[in-house]
Order: sequence, then C-alpha cells, then structure tokens
Amino acid sequence: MEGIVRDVIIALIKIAIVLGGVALGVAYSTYLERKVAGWIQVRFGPMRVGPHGLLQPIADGLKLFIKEDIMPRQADKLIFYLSPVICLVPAFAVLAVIPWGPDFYITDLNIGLLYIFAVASLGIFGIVMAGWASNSKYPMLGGLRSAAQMVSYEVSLGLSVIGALIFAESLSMVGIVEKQMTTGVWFVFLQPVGFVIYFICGLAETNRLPFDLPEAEQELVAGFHTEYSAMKFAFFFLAEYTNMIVVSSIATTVFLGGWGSPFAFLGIEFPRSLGIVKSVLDFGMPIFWFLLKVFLLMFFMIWVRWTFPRYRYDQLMNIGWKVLLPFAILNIIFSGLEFTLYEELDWYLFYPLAWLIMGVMVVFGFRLIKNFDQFSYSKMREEGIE
Amino acid sequence: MEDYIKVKREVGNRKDEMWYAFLQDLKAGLCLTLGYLFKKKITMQYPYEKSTAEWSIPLRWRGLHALSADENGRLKCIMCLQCMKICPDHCIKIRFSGAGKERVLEEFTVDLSRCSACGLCFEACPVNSITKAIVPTEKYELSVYSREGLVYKKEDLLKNWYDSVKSRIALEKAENMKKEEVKKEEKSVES
Amino acid sequence: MEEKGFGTEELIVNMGPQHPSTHGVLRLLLTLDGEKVVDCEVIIGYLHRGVEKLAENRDYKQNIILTDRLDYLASMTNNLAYVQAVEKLMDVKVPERAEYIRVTVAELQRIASHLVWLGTHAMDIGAMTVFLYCFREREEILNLFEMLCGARLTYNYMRIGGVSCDLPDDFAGKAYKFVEKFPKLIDEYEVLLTKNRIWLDRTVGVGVISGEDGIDLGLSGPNIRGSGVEWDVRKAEPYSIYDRFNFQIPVGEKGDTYDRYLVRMEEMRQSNNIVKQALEQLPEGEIMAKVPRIIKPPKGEVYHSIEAPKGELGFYIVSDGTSTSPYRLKIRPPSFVNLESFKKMIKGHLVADVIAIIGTLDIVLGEVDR
Repeated sequence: MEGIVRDVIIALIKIAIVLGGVALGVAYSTYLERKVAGWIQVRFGPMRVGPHGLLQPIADGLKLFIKEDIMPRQADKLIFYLSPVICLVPAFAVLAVIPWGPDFYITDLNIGLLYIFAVASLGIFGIVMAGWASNSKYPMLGGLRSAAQMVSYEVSLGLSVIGALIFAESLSMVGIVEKQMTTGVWFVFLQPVGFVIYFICGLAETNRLPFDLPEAEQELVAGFHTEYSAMKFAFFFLAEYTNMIVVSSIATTVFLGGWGSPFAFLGIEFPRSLGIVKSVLDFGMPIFWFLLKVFLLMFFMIWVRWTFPRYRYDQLMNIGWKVLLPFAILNIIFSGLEFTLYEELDWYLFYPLAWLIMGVMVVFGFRLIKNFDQFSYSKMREEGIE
Repeated sequence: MEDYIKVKREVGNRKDEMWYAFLQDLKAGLCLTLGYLFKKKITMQYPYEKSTAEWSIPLRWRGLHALSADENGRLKCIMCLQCMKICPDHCIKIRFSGAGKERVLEEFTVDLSRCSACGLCFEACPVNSITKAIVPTEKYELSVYSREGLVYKKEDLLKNWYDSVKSRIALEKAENMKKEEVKKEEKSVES
Repeated sequence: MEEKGFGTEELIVNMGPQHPSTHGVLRLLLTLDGEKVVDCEVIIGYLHRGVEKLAENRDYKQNIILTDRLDYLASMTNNLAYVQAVEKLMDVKVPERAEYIRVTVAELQRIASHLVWLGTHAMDIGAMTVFLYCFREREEILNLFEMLCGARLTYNYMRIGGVSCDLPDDFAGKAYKFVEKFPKLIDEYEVLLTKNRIWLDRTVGVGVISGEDGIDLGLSGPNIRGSGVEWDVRKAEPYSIYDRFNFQIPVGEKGDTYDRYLVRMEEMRQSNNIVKQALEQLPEGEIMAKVPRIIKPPKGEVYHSIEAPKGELGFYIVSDGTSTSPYRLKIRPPSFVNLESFKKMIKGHLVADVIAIIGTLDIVLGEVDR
C-alpha cells in the first residue's frame, strides 16, 4: 500500500514538473518566435515589457485572461466550448512518454511511439470542431482544410519513422534512445531522408508555415480560430506551441539521440571526486542536451516560418500524397537494405555505400514523382499553361 | 539599345533539377535570413528615441504651423490674407481691425482638424525677411483629447514659433545680419 | 427522385471590405465550390471621395493636393501627370533643372511603389520577411522625399511650371548612395523568391491573361507588359525628358503572376538606372518657369498620360477660359482599369489565388474609388 502511495506521489510530482516546465517553455517559445522573427526582419522584437521584453509572454497571458470572451450568437455552444480543450489535452497527454533524461520521464510505455501518434492525431478533432461550431465561413474552410491536411500528413509522418524503428528494434521511447547510446550512432546519420520527411510532416502537423493553411492569415483571416477570443483562443495557441515542442522532442528522441551528448564518443565522464555535484551533473546534463536539441529544432521551425512563402491548398495535398508518401515508402524499402548492410559491413565500407545509395534514391525518387504530374519546376507544368 | 527586353524566366530549367532535388533553393533563402539574424537592427525605439544617427526630422518638415516674429518680438504677418485664400481646406481664419498701415491683427486661427498639411500657405506668404510670416515647424506630435484642442490661436502659433528650431536659426541669422550691418556702417564711417 | 447521397452546395463568401489582404476596402463576393472560385463579383466605392467633382470647385494649384490622394503610394507621379496636363494646356516650357528633378523623384517613386507592391504581394503569399526588407528600402526613399519637400506620403511637390523647392544640399549625395546599393538589395529579394519552389508554385500559371485580352480590357503598366505587350508610355510617347536616358522596358511572355513579378523586379533596376543617370546629368538653373500667379488656362481641353508605377495614368482637363478652376477634370486611374481584368483572371482558381491575383494587379483603392 505504501509503495503505491509513494509511486503515485512521485508520478504526480513528475507530472507537475513536466507540465509546469512545458507551459513555461510554451510561453517562452512565443517569445523566441517573436524575437527570432524580429531579428531576421532587422527589427528588435519585443523590447518594452521587462528588460529586452522578457516579461512579454506573461503580459500576453494576462491580457488573454482578462479579455472579453466573445461567442458568436449562432455558434454551437457546447462544441464551441469543448473544442479548445480537445485541442489542448492530447497535446499535453503526449508529454507522458517523452524521455527528457535517462531518469526523468513520466512513464516508459513499450509502445511509446505508437501511443504518441495515436493520441496526437486526436487534437485535430478540436480544430475541425472549432471550425464547425463557429458557424462562420472562414473558420469552416479552415477546419476542413485542417482535417484534410492532418489525414494526409499523418500517413507520411508515421511511415517516415519506420526506417529508424528498424534500427531501434523497439517502440519504447526510452528504448530508442538507449539503442542509439549503445550503438553510438544517432539515427539521423542512418536515416537522413526519413528525418527530412519527418520534419516536413511535422511542420504540417503543427500548422506551421509553409503549411499553415488552416490558419492562413492572409486568406482565411485566422482560419479555424477566427471567432475565438480570450482564454479559448489562448488554448489553441498553447496547443500549437505544445505541439511544436512535442514534434521537436520526438525528432530528438528518434533521430537525434535523445539525451545523448554530442561529445559522447570522447568518453568523458565526470570524475568521482566531485561527489554530490557529480550526481547532479549526471542527472542534469542529459536533460540539458535533450532540451538543447529541442530548442535547436524549434529554432529551425521558426526560422523556416519567417523565410518561406505559403503553399496553396491543392499543392499541399500534392506534396503530401505525391511527394512525401512515395519518398517515405521508398525510404522504408531502402532502410531494409541498409539494415542488412549495416549488419554485414564494417563502418568504413557501410557509410559511403549507404549514403551513395541514399543519393541515388533521392535522384530516382525525384524522377519518379515528376511523373505524378505537376511539380513546380517540372517542364510539364511550365508547358501546361495555355 | 533595344527599347524592350524579354524577362528571363528561370522555370523549367533542366540543369536546375538536381539543385531542386537537394533543396538548394530553400537553403539559399535560409542562409540569407540567418545572415540577417545578427545584423544591426534598424528599428528606432520611437517614444524613447526621437532621432537616430541616420535620421532626424528635416528642417523642411511640414509640421505644425507657427507665426514667426522678428527679433523684437513683433509678428511678421502683414495681414494680406494670401494664406487664407490659397488654403484648399479653409482652415486659416484671419481677422484684423483698422485699415491701411494701421491694421492690427485681432485673430489668426489655424484649424488643424481640417488641415491636410499641403504646405500651400507657407508658400503663398509674400513676407520674406529671413523667414516667411507663417512657417512650418518640425513639431509632429499633434494628437489631443478634444477637437477644440486642434484649433490653434494666434498666441499658440507664436508660442510654437519660439519652441521651434527654426526660430533659433532665424534669430541667429538676424543677429549676424545686424552685426554685419554694424560692421558695414563702421567701415563706411571709417572711409 | 433526387439522387441519393451527399449533395454539395456553392458557398458564398464575402471577402472584404475588412480583410487583411484586399489592399484596402475592396470587397469581393466569391462563389466557392469547395475551394474553387466559380464566380466573383467585385464591389468598389468604399473609399469614394468625389475627387473629380471636388476639383471643379478648387483652383488649379489646389488640385495638386487632390492628386496626392489618388494613388497614395505614388504621389509624385500623380502630381507629375496633373501638372504636365495643365502645362500642356497652358503651353508652359519647364526649365531644364526642374525636368531632371521631376524625373528623379518620379523614378524614385516608382521604386518605392514597386517595393510596397513586392512587400505586400509576398506577404499575401506568406513570405513575411520580404515585406519588412522592402519597407526598409522604401523608408530610405521616403526619407529622401521628406528631406526634399517635408512630407512622407502626400508630397504636393510639383507645381505648374516646375517644382516647389530646389533639392537640398545633401539630397543628391544621399540619393546616389541609395542608388548605388539598391541593386544588391533587389538580389536579396530575388534569393528569397525568384527561384524558391514555393514561390514558383504559387505564381507560375496563376492569373494568366493573354495580351489580346489585356488590350481589350484596357490593362496597362507592368500588368500588360507581363503579357508580352510592348507598351510603355515612357517609350511609346516620351514625355518630359525620358528620351534622354538609357533604359529598357522589360516584357514577359506568358502573362501569369510570375511574369508580372519578374517585369516589376526588372523595372526597379531600370528605374534605378534612370535615377543614376538623372543625378549625374543634373544641370544648374531655375526650378520654376514664368507662370502667372493666378493660373487661368485658355479655353480648351487636354489629355495627358504618363507611365505611373501602376500603369497609364491620364488626366483629361476641360477649361472654359474664364474660371480659375477646371470645368471638368477626368482621371484615368490605372488601378481602376486594371481591376476590370480581375474577374477574368480569377475564374477557376482557388481561394488562395484570389489573394495572389489581387497582389499581382497592384491596386490602390484610393485610386480605384477616387
């Protein structure tokens, strides 16, 4: 009995830390977003609230709390209230299996990755319902776009990690990281194509530019959350940024060696003489590396957003089904071959060969998808103009 | 040289195929924006800094009107009504008493709520002793809480003149001219 | 019996007048079949101020400030078109230096206007950063104009018979510095857009209009040149002193959004060239011709058009010979006429293309509604 109580308390503490940490992280990722956007655009970004605008996220949060909550008269009240929650809960639920460090995760499911994909795809219901419940035309268009987009990209997203899973031989998030630690190679070096596909799909899943069609500020005003204000809007906002963190965390776990230090091959360990400091470092450094990788990935997502234009809806579908899906499948076939080679060959033979095959695959793949009609630069498109 | 040239369409260039296959177009854009990340920022933190090394409000700025005065504090206005006549928005109102050389300026109001800052009144003014009688100042923060606040009376316009940079320049100029005149007189006396 | 299963309906969406990407108060009634635009109705008039009627009650000098407020992104060229029309009516010879100053500011204005177009067009398609880069350069041009005439948007700079004030001492130097560095900055925009696959996807083959259709609809400016029609008032009927400069007019071939984009980019480079030449050749001398204080043109009528950044801007003036204000002033605004082709361009495209096509037409509602 005592054991159970202790376990529950420990679990609750962990949940509190993770949720609190992520909520803070989300708040400050909006700050990061605005700062990076500003710097890229030769501006300063937020500067007024606190030193260098450091208190800006808190001010924004307060503002959203005390804002008037407006609901359209014709809206479907229950669904209108529910959808922000439905959007947010799966995003948070996924955090349960993310391994922040070797000794720091809420739980280690043996089907961790499967759980993530299953739960994360529920968030889409929130968006579709929000679009429907607002009883307004722009949100409805946004909601429908979102539904189609998620369905299309979920497929490639799932397929893109399979290559890595062949090497990991496990679905448990902790297992995947530990495999990378023991073999001493991050899966991104074995699976660069998978990583790129995963990342592109991840951008689409989190509704980030160039795939932010459900929101598409310039055409649908704000897409599915046009009619939302105050806290309900904040929930969507929170969900979007939590999803960003989740997608980056999965990429870190599966492809970038999780909590593993990039200098692990040097084999440096903290000396025993440090005593308590050593144990703190042993606990803290992996979490630091993990968070650093997540931060870099998030920075990249933000960087991409402020550089590129946005795709059109039909092009988005084309990319999902005619480019990413064939590539993801090709990648799985290639991974089987690669795994065999990996088992058979020494590393100095394996890597050049594997990367060569990979290059051939990319070239071959692009030749292939060119035949799936339009792709911007292809000559066919150019000639297709009447 | 030919008058018309065809633009180069760089679409469907077969040579570029591999360039696109390995996402080089995206890389080029990303490198550019990354370069900007640490460049010097050009924002001016407006209410805190009102001018920077690159920019300060130019002297020709068509800001708030001012009625200029000479070095003795007398208004330069000769009540010719030219500015009132040229104003397309009828925002200048002038009233004077007396006639001929004895005219006294009773009222001179500029209604900024109608003004479109075209600058025609400054141009129309026939006075030209160092400055015109009605001049634009560099003042541009003109918002007020009530419409009445936008109607500037003669006294307000004179105060604007003394607040502006232009008055300082004009007074200096006037002083210099006086000194030169004195010198000239001395010279003529000497000769 | 009705057919069983899901029926589909057309959706009517009201885009504007308050919408982030309709460039002002343009209102579109879109009939959508899914995402596809089946039909479209353009509704204008939300910014109507009656400029043409107002002009009949103001004298010729006061009307210059009305022209500022037509295409408020290109006041200088509006001024130029109007004052040249009146000069044509009165048969005034403008001094050499004034002509050079006019060309310099008009071409700088063309660059500024195209920069706003590029920025907003790219932003509509999602590339936010280009917008701010463009506005950075536009700001420098506005600073130059501010130095020149004391205003940033509605300049009221040109006068009948010349210009209102001479160049300030440091204007030529600063303008030259800008002109020197500007081509490199255009290259930067091009890195972000011209070869970018997303930009290509969004612009190639979108809003195609053939040269013949364009002529029928009265398209002008970069829009018609994008369709491969060689028509630029600066070359076709040179006004002012444009025949003295070396410059070329870019034309496209397919008439899609991408072509119009390329044409405008090249136009910025050419305008830059003209400014450079004008600054180098700038003569000394008077800036105002001898014109009477009260302008009363002889009885008659005149039409004069120039190449404004958005297209052919024309002023038609009727004078009765006795009054100091025009009997009738008719404006041929390029944006208004260009907007006519919107309906033709949009048919069969998707919702996202509506935004791209509004962007590529480069309309300013102040000029459309007058």
